[in-house]
Amino acid sequence: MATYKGIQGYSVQKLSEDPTAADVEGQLWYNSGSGKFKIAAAGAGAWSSGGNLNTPRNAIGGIGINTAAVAVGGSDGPGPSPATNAAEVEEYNGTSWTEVTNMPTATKHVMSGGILTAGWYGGGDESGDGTTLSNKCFEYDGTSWTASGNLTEAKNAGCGTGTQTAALITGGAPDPTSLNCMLYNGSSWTETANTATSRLNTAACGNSSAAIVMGGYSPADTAYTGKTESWNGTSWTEVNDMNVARSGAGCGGNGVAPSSSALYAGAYGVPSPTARNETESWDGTSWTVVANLATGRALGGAAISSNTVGLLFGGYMPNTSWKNETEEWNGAPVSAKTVTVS
Amino acid sequence: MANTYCTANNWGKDFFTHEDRNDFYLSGHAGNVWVVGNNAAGISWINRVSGTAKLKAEAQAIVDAEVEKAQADYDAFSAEEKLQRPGRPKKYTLP
Repeated sequence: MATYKGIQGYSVQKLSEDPTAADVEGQLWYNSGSGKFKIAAAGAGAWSSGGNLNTPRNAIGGIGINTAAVAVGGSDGPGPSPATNAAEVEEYNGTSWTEVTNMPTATKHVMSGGILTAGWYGGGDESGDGTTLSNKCFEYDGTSWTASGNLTEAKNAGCGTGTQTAALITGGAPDPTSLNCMLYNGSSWTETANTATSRLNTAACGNSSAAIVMGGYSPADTAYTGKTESWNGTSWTEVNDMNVARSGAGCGGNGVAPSSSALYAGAYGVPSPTARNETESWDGTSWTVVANLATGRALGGAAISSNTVGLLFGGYMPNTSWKNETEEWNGAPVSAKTVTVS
Repeated sequence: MANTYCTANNWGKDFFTHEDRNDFYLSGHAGNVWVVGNNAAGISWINRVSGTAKLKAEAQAIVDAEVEKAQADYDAFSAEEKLQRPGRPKKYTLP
């Protein structure tokens, strides 16, 4: 009988047990224990449940990545009334949330970015009713909050992205323009070129030299928008729209995703005020609809690393109360699959 | 019937897994109502999370009651408070 090596010129590796699939994507092996051929292959992306926040809330700032995230402030539970601001800060370790040092002032709709040990937030609504907006900025070192340079204007409900030394904020109230964009260098904020479309409750990823901003509510158009704009450090260029126009996904910040690999999930859209559950993946050129959230929600916090890894927490269903649920996105899970042979 | 219905309390991590999401339809709604794909994996999940099976009409009534409560809360808001929200909650039909 001809052997595989005799036909192909090489042997299939023989292993006594399956290796960690994620480490051997694309590899084929023979499991001598089970007597089966196996291959490590990427499957379909999906959201799974993560640990619940201790405090249900919406309009949360998000910092970090899916295994080291920070939920900052927001509007306290149980919602939708009374709508008091939350000062609570919680950290996520990939399994559960733990309450840590409160933010200096209870604030919702902050704009945020960075990682757990080097995060930041700016602005927000300190009064809870939109009458007292903040221009303050604070940095987080994983333990405590330290004041930094003020934003160029007080605002809330925009979006933040980038690191503690190269960040960007755009969109947000006060109306009617919601255009103003500002850059952070680790100590001070500088006004810079505005986006073409005004936006509230928008989202962004990238940093001060390369970013995209997507979605939101356009006061000028009095409609949700799916428009996406790309930032090159100097100016904004309109690029391909999202498939579903909506507002309020990953409300405060979007973790550390680069401008070439982003995720946009949930938000509210039409018919207003519907909680959307669609997820879209950005590959640097266009948006593709991928697997839905299990629970549609708006104004949750987000900690997105790329279009394959992310975390969405809290938020609310416009029809009912604040959420404490977390969902974890795995966009390209690798698993060992048995090869059928004849 | 494409979907089945239950109530279950989402305890957090691993309440539903990545594999679950690829094996059956799942969507969460107010009142801890879950719409679950009506296949073997979906039924197995309901048992795993100790879900309480509901008829579609029962599940819909739970969600409707939650929306009605949210509508009453919204109606009690001042005009300024209403401006802070995207609109009056609306009832919708479960899939």
